[in-house]
Amino acid sequence: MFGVEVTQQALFYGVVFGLIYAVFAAGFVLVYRCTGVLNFAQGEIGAFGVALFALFHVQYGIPYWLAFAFATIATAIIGMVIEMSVVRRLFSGPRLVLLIATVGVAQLLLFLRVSLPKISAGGEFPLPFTGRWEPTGSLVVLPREILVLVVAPIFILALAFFMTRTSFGLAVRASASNADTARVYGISVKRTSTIVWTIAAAFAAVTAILIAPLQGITPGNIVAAGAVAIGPSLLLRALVVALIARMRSLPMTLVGGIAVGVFERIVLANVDARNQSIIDLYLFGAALVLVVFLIRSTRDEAGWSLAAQVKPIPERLRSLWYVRRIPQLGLTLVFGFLAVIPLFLSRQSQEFLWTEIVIYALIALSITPLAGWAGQLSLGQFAFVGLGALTMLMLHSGLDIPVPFDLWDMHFQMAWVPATILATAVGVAAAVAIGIPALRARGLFLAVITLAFAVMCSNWLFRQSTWTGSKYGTSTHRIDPPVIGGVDFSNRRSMYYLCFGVLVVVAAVVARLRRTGIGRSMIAVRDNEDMAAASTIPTSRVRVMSFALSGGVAALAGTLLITLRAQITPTQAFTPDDSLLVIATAVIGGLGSIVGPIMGALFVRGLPVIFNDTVQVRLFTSSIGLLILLMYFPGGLLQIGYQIRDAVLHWADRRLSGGAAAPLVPAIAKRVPTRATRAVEGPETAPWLSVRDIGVRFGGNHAVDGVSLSVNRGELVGLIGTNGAGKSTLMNAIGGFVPSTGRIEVLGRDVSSMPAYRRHRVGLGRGFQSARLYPAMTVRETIMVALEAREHSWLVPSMTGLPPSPRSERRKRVEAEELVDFLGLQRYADEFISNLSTGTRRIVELGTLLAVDARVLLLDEPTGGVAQREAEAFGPLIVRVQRELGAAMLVIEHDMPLIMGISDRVYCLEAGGVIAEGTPGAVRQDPKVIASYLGTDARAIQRSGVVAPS
Amino acid sequence: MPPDDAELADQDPAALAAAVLAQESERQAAQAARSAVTVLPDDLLPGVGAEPMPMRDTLRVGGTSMVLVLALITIAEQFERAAGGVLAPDIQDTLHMSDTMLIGISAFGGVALVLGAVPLAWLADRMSRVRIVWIATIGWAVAAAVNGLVVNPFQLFCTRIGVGFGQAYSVPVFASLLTDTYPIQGRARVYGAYWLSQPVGLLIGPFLAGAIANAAGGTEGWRATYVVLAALPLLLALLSMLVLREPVRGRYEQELVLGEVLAPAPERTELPVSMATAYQRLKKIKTFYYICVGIGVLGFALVAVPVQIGLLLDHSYGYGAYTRGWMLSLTAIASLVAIPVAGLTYDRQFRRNPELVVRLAGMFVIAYGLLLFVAMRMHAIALLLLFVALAGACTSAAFVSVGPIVGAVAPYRMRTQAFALVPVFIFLVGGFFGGILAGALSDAHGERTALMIVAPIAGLIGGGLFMYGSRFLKRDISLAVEELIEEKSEIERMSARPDAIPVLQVHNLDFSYGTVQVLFDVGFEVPRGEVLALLGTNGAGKSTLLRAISGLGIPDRGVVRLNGRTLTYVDAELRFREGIVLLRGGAGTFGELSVNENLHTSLLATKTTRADRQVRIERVLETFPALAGRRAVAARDLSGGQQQMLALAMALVHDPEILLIDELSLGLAPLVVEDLLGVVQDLKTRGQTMIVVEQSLNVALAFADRAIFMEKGRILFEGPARELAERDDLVRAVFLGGEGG
Repeated sequence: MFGVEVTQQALFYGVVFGLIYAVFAAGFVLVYRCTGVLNFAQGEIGAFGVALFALFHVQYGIPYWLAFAFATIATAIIGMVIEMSVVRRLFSGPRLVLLIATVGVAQLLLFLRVSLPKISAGGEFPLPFTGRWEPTGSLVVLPREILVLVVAPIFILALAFFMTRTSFGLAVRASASNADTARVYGISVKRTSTIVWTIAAAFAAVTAILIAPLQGITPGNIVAAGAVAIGPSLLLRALVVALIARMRSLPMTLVGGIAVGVFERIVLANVDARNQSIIDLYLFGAALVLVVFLIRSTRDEAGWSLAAQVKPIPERLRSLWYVRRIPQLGLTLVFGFLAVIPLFLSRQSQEFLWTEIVIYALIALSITPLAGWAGQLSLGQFAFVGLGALTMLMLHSGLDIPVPFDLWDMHFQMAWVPATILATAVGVAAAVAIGIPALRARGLFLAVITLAFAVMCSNWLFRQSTWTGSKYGTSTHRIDPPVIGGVDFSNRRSMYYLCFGVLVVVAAVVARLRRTGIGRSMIAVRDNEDMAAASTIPTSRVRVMSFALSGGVAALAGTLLITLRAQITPTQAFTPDDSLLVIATAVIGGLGSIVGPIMGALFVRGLPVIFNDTVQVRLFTSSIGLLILLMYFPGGLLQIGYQIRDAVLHWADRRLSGGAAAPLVPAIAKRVPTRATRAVEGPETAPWLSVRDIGVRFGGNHAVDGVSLSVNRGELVGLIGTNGAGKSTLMNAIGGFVPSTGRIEVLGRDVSSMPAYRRHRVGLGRGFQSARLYPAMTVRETIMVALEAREHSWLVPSMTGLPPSPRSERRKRVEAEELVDFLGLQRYADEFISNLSTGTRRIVELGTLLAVDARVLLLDEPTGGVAQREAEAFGPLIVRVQRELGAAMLVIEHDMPLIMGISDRVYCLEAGGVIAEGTPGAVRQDPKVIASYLGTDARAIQRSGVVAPS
Repeated sequence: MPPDDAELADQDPAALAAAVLAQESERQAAQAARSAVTVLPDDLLPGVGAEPMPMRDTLRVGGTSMVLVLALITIAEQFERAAGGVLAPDIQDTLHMSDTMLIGISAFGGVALVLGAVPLAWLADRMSRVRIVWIATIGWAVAAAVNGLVVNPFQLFCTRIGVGFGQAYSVPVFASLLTDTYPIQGRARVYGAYWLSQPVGLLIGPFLAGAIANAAGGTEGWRATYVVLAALPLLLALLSMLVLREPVRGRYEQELVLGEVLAPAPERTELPVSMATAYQRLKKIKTFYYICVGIGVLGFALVAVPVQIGLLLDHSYGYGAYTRGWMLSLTAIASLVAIPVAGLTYDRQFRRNPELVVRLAGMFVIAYGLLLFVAMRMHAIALLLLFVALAGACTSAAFVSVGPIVGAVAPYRMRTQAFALVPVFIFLVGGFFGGILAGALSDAHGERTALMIVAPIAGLIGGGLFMYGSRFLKRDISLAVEELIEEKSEIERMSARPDAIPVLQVHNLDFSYGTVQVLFDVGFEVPRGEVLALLGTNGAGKSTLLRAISGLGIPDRGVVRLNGRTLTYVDAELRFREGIVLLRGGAGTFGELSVNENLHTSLLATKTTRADRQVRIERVLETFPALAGRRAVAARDLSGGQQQMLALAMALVHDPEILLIDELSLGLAPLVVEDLLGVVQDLKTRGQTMIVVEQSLNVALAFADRAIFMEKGRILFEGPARELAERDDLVRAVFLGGEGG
C-alpha cells in the first residue's frame, strides 16, 4: 500500500513508544483537566524521580522496588511543594502565567538534579528482571519493553479508575467542573489542586523510571550530565496525544498514544535514516489541525498581561526636573551601559560574548509587541531567528533557492545588506503564516502550536539542503563578515557596534510604535477585543500584525547572529529550549516595555558573563529568579524599578507637602467635539437603526427569537426586560459580536454580513455592560484608541514616522485633549483605567463613544455598577449627549425610574421576544409587562397576603 | 417622559459629567474616611503609659518556671546543633560521605526546621501549646538519639529531618507562650532573659559536644555524644509536662483594655482561622509586614555571614577548624551583655513611646551592617573579631525586640502563626538568596569584598524597613484593641439575651470586586425559622451579598456572624460545615457529573456513614421523581428546570442552619416554578431558616416572612413581606419606574 513497508518489529516499537507518549500525555491531561495548567515541568519532575531512583538503587544499594517507592514518594512530595509554593500563589492568575512558571520550575528542577550527589557506578539503567524473547521469528522483545507494555496501560487505567470511582476523584472532578459550588459544599478546591499535583508528580516519576531504559538514560548521565530526559521532542509528542484526547479523556490518551507511536514508527521505517525528523513536520501539521479544528479554547484568556502597572506621576511633582527625567532614566542607563561596555573589554572573546548579549536583547525585544502588547504567547521565537539567519546565509552565499516543482534554477549571491533585508522579510512572512491560524487558537493552545513549529524547524526544516548546503546536513557554510561602507566588520568591536546600532534603531522604532495608534490598537485588542472592535479596530489584522512585527525583529536578530558566529549548527543554535528561555528573559525584564527585555537579556545572559557562569548565578538568573519575579514582581525587573521610582516620588511629595490634592477642574462648557470630516449623515426619513426578525441560538436555546425593532434619528429608545430576556444578546447581535439570523440596517445600509469592526465604521457606537475598557491603558490612550475611528493608523508610516503618521498622531492628541476637557476628566487623563471606579469609567466610555462619532449608539446598562447618587446625575448626561450628537440611541437599563424618565419609546423583551412596545407610560401599564416583572401569576399577589404570617 | 429640551439646554453636558465625577470622588472620600483606622490615644493602648514593673514582679506574676524551662530547652537545642557542627568530620568519615552530601543533608534539616514552624504554629493556635512543647521535645530527643545509631547517609537524612521538624516549635510556640505568660510591661526583659539561652548554648555547646565525643573515644565517639545529648531534652520534656501551665491567650491585653479576661466559655469556642486567611489578615498589619520584610532583607547577610567569616578565617588566616570554632564562640560573649540591656531599654521605652522600640531595633540592624563593614576593613585578627562580636551583639539586641513588637500588633488568635513567619523570612527569603548572592560574590571577588557589599546594604535596607514600619505601630495596636472591644460588646449583647441570638448577623458590610464597590454598608439579622426575601433588580448586589455570607468572597469591611460566632474571615469550606448552605442559581450543579455523582459530591464533606448518605439521597430523590429516573445523566444534559431541581436536591440532603437560595425561578417555566416553590414551602413549614434571592417579586412574597429590597448595593426597604405586597404603588414604582417612587 503506497509502497509503505510495515514490519512486525516496527509495529511493536510503535506500540511501546506510543504507550510512552500516552503515559506522559496522561500526566498533562490530569493536571490540565483539574487545574487548567499546561505543566511544562512534567518532564523534569519525572527526570528528577529517575535521578533519585538511580541514586537510591545504584548508589546506595537499596533494593529495586524499595528504591522505586522512595523515589516516587519523594517526587510526589516535590509535586506537592510546587503546588503549595508556586501554583497556589498564582492560582487565580492567568493560566499562561502559570505555564511560564512551570518553565521556571523545570529549570529549577534541572539544577537540583545536576547538583545531586554523583553516581559513581556506570552501566545500563537497572531493570527489575532480565531476559530476551522472540515470540515470532522476526520479533525481538526485551524486558524494558515488557515493562512499558504492562505498566503504562495499568497506570493510565488506574488513574482513570481513581478519577471516576473514588471519592477523591469525585471531589477533584467536581472542583474542576464548578469550583465555587464545590467550595460551597465543603470541598476545598485548593486541597484538591494539591492532591492532583502530588499524584501527577508521582505519576511522572513512576513512568519516567519505567521508560528510562528505553531512552538510553544511564545512572551515570542522569545526574552528572543532566541528560535531557524529556526534551521538547517528547514533550511535543505527549502534547499531540493530549490534544487527541481533547485534554480530557484518559482512555483516549492510550488510543492516541498508540496511534502516534505506530504512525511514527511506520514513517521512520520508510524514510531515509538521516531524514527521520520529518516526523516533526507531520506532528506540527497534526497539532495545527487538532488545535484549529477540534479544540475549542474554552477558558477565556483575554487580557492576560504581565506588564508593570505604572502609577501616574502626581501633577504637582511634574515641575521637578528629576521627576520629569525619570522616564528616560532607565533607557539612558541601559543604553549608556551597552554603549561603553566594549571600551572596558580587553579580549576579543569578551567582545564576542557581549555582542551575543546585544543580539539576544534584540531577540527578547521581539517578544514585546507579540506577548507584551497583543498578549499572544509564542514558544517558538527561535524558529524565526533561525529562519532569518539561514535565509540570510542562503542569499548571501548563493545557495539554491527552493522553487516549487523545480520550475527554474534559481540562485544568486546577494550583498549583506539586501540579504539581511530579504531575510527579515522572510521572517515576517513566516510569522504571518503562523499568525493566521493562531487567530483561532489563543492562549495555551497557541503556545502548543508555536512549540510544535519550533521543534519542527529545529529538528527538520533547518537541516534541509536549502540552508545547510548538503542533504540533511547539520552545519552551515562559513560566511565572511561584511564590509559595509568601508568598515570591516571582522573587527569584533565594529561588529559589536553594528549590532548595538541595530538594537538602538529597533528599540526606537518599537518605542515609536507604542506611542502610535498601532501600538495602542494591539494593547486594546488584548485587553478588550469587543470594545476594540467597537472602536472600529480590525482585530484580526492587528493580531497578525503583531506576529509579523515580532517575526521580523527575530529574523533580523538571526541575520546578525549568523554574521557574528560565521558558522552555525542550526539544530543546536535555534532550539525550542532557547525559545522558552527567551520568553522567560522577556518576563524577567518586564514584558511589554522597551527597556525591560534588554534588562532581562543583561540579567539572564550578562550576569553569567560577569560572574564566570557559576551554577549559583544561572540558578538565580533563570529558574529561581523567574519564579520570584512571577510571584512577587509580575512586572519583572522593570516593576522593581518603578517601585523605586514611586518611593522617590513619595519622598519628593513629602518634601513638597503642604499642598492638598489637586482640585477637581470643572469642565469647560463647550459643544461636543466632533470632527466634521466624518459626519456621516443618515437618511432623513428611514429609521437609523432597523432590525428585522433577528434570531440568536446558543446550542438548542433561542436566546433571541425573531425580534424586530427600529430607532429613528434623534430618538432615545429604552430596552427593558427581566434577567435572561435576551436584551444584551440582541445588542451583541446588532453589533456583530454574536452570529445571528435576520437583517440589520444601520443608517440605511445593510450590515448583516459585516464583521463587528466594519459595522462600527458605518456609524454604530457601543457601550458595554461591564465598563471594563482597557485596564492597562490610561484614560487619554483609551480615548485615542477610539479616535482610530476618525483616522486609521498605518503600520509603515507609524514605524518610520513618515507622513501621514506624525500629523495624524498630533491631531489625535489634540482631539483626545478636547474630549478629556469636555468631560472634565483632566484629573484622570493619565490615570490607568484599572485604577478608576465605575462611575469614572462610565464617563470615559462616553468619551470613547463621542470619539468614534457614532450616529447610532447602543448602551448596555450605562449606569450599571454606579452608585445611586451618581446614577441620578447620569441620566441627564446621556440624554444631553444624545441630543448634542443628534444620534439614535438604544439603551438597556434596569434602573426603571431612569430609563422611563429619559426614553421616547420603550421595548420590553421576555424570553427572547418583544412583548410590548410604546411610550414609557403605556408600557408601564401593559399587563404583559406587569406580569413579566411582578410574577407569572397575577393571583400571586393576593395569595401572598394569605401565606405571610401576621 | 423624556425631559424637554428647554430644560436640558441649561445644563451643559460637561457640567453634568463633572457632577457625576464630583459625586463619586465625594463618596470615595467618605468611604475612605469610614474605613480608616482611628489611632487610639496612648492611654488606651495596652502597655503604653503603664506603671513600670520590675523584673521581680514580672516573674512573680508569670512565674519563673516558664522562661526557665523554655530557655533550658533552647540551650539543649543549641547543644544538639553544635554537636552537628563539631562532629561533622567524624560522621562524614564513618558514613563515607562527600562534603556536598553532608552540607545538603544539614541544609534539608534546616529547611525542615523553618518550614515545620508553619504547620506547628497552625496547631499551636488550636491546641494546648504546653502539650506541643513536651511532645515535640520528646520527638526531637528521640530523633537525636536515633541519629547516633545511623549506618548510612539516607538514615542520617531521615533523622536530620526528624530533628528539624521536632525543633521547629521553638520559634513560634515559645514566643507566644512567653507573650501570654508575662505582663506587657516586663515582656522585653523576659524575652531578653530567654534570648540569653542562644549565646550561652553557642558558648558551651561545642565544648560539651567535643568533650563527650573525646571521652567516648574512637572514630565512632560521636554516636555516644548523640545518645547522651538526647537525655537532656527528655528530662526537660518531663519537667515541662509537670511544671508548665497553659496560659490564657491574650490575657494581659484583655485585662488592660477590657479590665477583665473574656470568658473562654465552651459555647464560644473559636472557629479556627485558616492559614491562608490568617496570612491575609497578618499582611494588613503594616508594622508586622515591614518588620518581616526587613528581617528578610537582613537575612541576606545573617545567614551568609558565619559561613563567609569561617571561610575568611580559613583562607586568609589559615586557622584550622578547632581554632575557628572557639574564635566564633568567643564572639557570642558580646551578645550576653547586649541582650539584657536591650530588654531593659525596650521595656522602659515601650511605656513612653512604643514606636521608639521599633526604631531602636532598626538602628541596631543598621549598626550591624556598618560594624561588619568596618570589621572587614580590619586586617588584624583581634580587631576583626571584636567588630564581628559587636555586630553580633547588635543583631541579638534587635531580635529581642521582635517578640514584644509582634506580640503587641498581632491579634492574639494568630500570634503563633505570626511568630512562625519570622524565621521563614530570615532563612527562606533572605538566607537562601543571600547565600547564593554572597557565594557568587565571594567566588568572584573573595569573602572580604562579598561581606563588605552584602552586609551594609542588607543592614541599611533592613533597618530602614524597621524604621519605616515604626510609624504604623500605634495604628496596628489600635486595630487589635478595636477588635477586642467590638468582640466584648457583642458578647455582652448576646449574654444579655441568649435566647435572641440571630442565626445570621451581617454588619457594616462593604464589598468590592477590584475597584468596583458592589455593597455599601449592608447590615441585617435573620432570626431562627425566618424566611427572608432579598429583592432587587439586576446588579443590586443580592448575589454578591450571598457570596460574602457563604464565604466565596471576603468583604473589605464588616462582620458576618453565624449563631453569634464571627465568620468573616473563615473559608467557605468551613462555613459549610458550620451550617451555611448556598444554592447557586443557574450554577448550583456540577455539569460534567451525573445526577447521582452530583448528590454524592454534595455529601463528600459531611461526616456520616455510607448508608446514611444513601438514605438521604433516596429520600430527596423521592421528592423529585423527575430526577430519580435520570440518575446516570450528566447534569448539563438535564433541562433547566431539572438542573434547578438537582441544585435544590443537593441542598436538601443537608440539614443546614441557614439555607441561602439564589435565583430559584430564573428562566424557568411557571409550572416548574410552582413545583420548586412547593418544596421550599415545605422547608418553611419545617422551620428552616432561609434567605431567598428572587427577581420575581410575587414568587418571593408568596412565602417570605420579611423582605429586604436592595438597589445599587444598598438596602432600600426592609419590612414584613405582607406590607410590601400590600403597597402596590411602592412595588410598581421600584420595578416599573412609575410615579410615586
